[in-house]
Amino acid sequence: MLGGLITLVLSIMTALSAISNILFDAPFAADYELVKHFVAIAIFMFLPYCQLTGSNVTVDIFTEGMGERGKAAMAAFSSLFALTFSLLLLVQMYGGLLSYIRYRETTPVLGLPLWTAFPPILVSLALLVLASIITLSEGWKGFRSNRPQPPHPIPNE
Amino acid sequence: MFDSFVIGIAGLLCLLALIAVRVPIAYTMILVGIAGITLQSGPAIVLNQLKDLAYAQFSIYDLSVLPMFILMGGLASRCGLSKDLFRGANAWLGRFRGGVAMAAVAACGGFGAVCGSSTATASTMGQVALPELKRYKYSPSLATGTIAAGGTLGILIPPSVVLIVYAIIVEANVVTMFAAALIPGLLAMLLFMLTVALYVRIVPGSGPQGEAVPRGELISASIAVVPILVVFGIVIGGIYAGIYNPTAAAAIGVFLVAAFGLIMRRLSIRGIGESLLETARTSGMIFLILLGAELLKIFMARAGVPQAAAASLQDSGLSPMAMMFLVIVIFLILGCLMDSLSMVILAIPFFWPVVAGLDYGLDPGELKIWFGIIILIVVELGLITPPVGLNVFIINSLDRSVPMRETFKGVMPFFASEMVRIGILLAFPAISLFLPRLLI
Amino acid sequence: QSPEVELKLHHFLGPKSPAHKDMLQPWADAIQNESKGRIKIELYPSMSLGGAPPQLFRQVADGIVDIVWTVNGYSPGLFPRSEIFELPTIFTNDVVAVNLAMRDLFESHLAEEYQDVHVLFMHVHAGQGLHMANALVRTPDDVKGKKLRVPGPTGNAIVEAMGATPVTMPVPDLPQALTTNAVDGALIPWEIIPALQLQESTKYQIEGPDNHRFGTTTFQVSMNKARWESLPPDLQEIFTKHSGEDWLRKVGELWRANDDFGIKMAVESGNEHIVLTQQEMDAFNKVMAPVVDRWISEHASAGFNAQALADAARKALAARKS
Ligand code: NA
Ligand code: NA
Repeated sequence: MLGGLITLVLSIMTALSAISNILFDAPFAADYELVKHFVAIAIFMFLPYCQLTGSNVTVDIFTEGMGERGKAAMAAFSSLFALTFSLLLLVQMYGGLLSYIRYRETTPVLGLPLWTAFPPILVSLALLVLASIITLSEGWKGFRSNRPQPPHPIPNE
Repeated sequence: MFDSFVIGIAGLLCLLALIAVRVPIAYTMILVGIAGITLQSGPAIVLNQLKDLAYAQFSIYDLSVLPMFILMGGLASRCGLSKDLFRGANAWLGRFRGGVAMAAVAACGGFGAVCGSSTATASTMGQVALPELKRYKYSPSLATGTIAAGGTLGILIPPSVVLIVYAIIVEANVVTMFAAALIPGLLAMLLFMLTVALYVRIVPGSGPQGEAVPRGELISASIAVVPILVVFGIVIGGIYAGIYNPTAAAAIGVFLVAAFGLIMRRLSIRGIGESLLETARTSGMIFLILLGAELLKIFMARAGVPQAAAASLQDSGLSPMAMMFLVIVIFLILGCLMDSLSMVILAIPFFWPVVAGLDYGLDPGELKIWFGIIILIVVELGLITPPVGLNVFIINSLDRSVPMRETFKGVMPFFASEMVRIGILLAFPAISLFLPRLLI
Repeated sequence: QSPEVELKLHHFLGPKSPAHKDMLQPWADAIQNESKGRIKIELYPSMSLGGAPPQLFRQVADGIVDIVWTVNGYSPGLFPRSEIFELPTIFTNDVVAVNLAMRDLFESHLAEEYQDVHVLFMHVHAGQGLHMANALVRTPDDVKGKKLRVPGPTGNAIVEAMGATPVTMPVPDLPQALTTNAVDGALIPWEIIPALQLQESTKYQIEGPDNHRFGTTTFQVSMNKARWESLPPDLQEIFTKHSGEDWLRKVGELWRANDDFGIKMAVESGNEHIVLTQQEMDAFNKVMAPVVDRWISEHASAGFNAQALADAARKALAARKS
């Protein structure tokens, strides 16, 4: 699952670079709208991976002294949020897809219908739901067994 | 329905409470935003808005530079560029007292010129420079403090992820912001080196003299730095010269660094894979926070919080400069607890409108730039202030033998030098505005 | 007493923009006053209720906000019929006439694309002028091969017809793009000059005689349909009254005045304001006329009679000529 995700990301990245490279030689009027369209899709694809690797920044200051059990409980609690939100977003953005099919908005130059961004986004959101279930169950297991939680990676900023 | 202030404060308290129990900042903002809008205007509105809000938030052209600059920085970290930089700087500076530390600062600055992230700069340069500083018997607190502080040059010198996010929030031009940050960034580098020079004189034995290098090494070490200068010149120079926009520049930068790494056989396919994964993680995190911030903004706007806050600040009779000091102090306090990006995304939408309404003798466009540079410095300080200082954490993870307290102590002189710099930039807006004025 | 209906009006420009302070705010004030406080309209500028400008129409259709002011061209594909009024040679220079003609043709020709909203009024700006960074333009040949920033889908067609390359970018990026030669010029009204300080990044402002321009942009102020239907008839009447012919004339004059202010500012700072001769403008109209034909053929299967709409638009404009 991850492999496929990453290859996709990779190809999108290269496509973006290629398009941008074309741009500075001969102006390509559709560059702007294509970058917008694909960057949105790519970002949604990043989200499940983010959830799985626990990359979303937290503030640990108040909880540093807490035991592993407590931390696991809180990780499970956060995953519950992620699960609820991703389910909600999945359902609502399906509504968005219908709305964009009904009101057929397009990109200005190529006339590419915007709804075409939604199916890959919905797939990514379904994967985010799955990823949240996985992290939730891990947190729950950690809480039950008092096993140490994997440390948070330090984000780049 | 309710008094705006009560709602705003209740919302902020919920936010803090959730953050305190280790809920990721993004989900905290999303939750409080959704709950707030629902309480304020009913569930139908927020449900309808969720149909395409996330798509709208992610489908922004300027944001496409973020993943690309992150990828470029990730590739640069894995290419060993840091080693070349340090070798080059050390060949010139190593012979002076405290010179190895100064070289580390200069190398951090050089790395910052190709990398948009502070933590990446700190960890990459730390791996190279810390062992050297140790070898020359630098005091542990100076050695680790220098790298932790030097790492912040990663976001102070363009390209800078934090600056891009700021530009998007206040609707400033990314190119102008990059131009504005260059001179202040170089000033930071200079002041950091000066700080090292003073430190080793005040604390004897903390930074011994290194040995002068032979001429041959000086030349070859200098030549090794050339690729980095070329990449910086093509990417950032190209942006300044208007040959291409930041998105194209970032794409070119990714391509250049990857090509350099592959040709010099310094970059493996695995390294590229790791960089991509890191890009996915970091960008995913940033964009999710941006979505949370948008939901929070909608909640606050519907509750009338910004309007009420602006009105009460206008009534407060604070002078513009007093207001600026207040904002700086608030950001410094936030910086003790939060990471810099969350801080910018969370707090700028509140403070920018307030500052924008005051008269600093600058036109609105220039005020945006000047305020952005000041804020950039203040949030970046959050990376080295206790108790949550990401750069210090990173240095600590690289060298467990130095207690974190020592590093925080070593960082303090640099903190002082940053205060001096904020003073200079506040007193002379022209320093930040010089290059942007040339551009237009 | 507390108002009977509270409405949120959402739009994308800042609170200091002429559209906000000279058009939307006075309009809202007039309605509130006439209702004697029964109606309250709260303005939310700068997209403060979330989303990006292209989402405004969906926001009002879905009831996320009650009223929006938006540019039709921001959501390409949604308003194919209304586009006709943006085309060069259909729109030439008569702002008030277009505002009124769109109203005249609304029920018969345009209503189809606004089903989920109640359109309160539609208007245009004073028309696209040609802003050039360095190149003096007097003939279509002078723009051939140049890169021009376009305002939207109909702008693409105009620029392509002139043999230039259309470039899409957000308006705020324009000054930078002009100074760095990322674009050579732009199609936008004079009205935008003060906000972007365009006199600093351009040398020439070019238009035809009698403010003859290169197409325009249509705007709508619309209310959510369900919300509109929930209003008591006497309150609906107040909205209709204040969005009628008199108001449309006033809106036309207002955009014209802001446009005049913009060009005055550019000229005073030393820019050259080029007014083409009728002959020169005819040459431009000759290359731009196929834009209308192209629009008609492109909309042949769009579910309406494009040729008939173009004819009706010309007729309505002639009838409303001021
Ligand atoms: Na940087
Ligand atoms: Na801190």
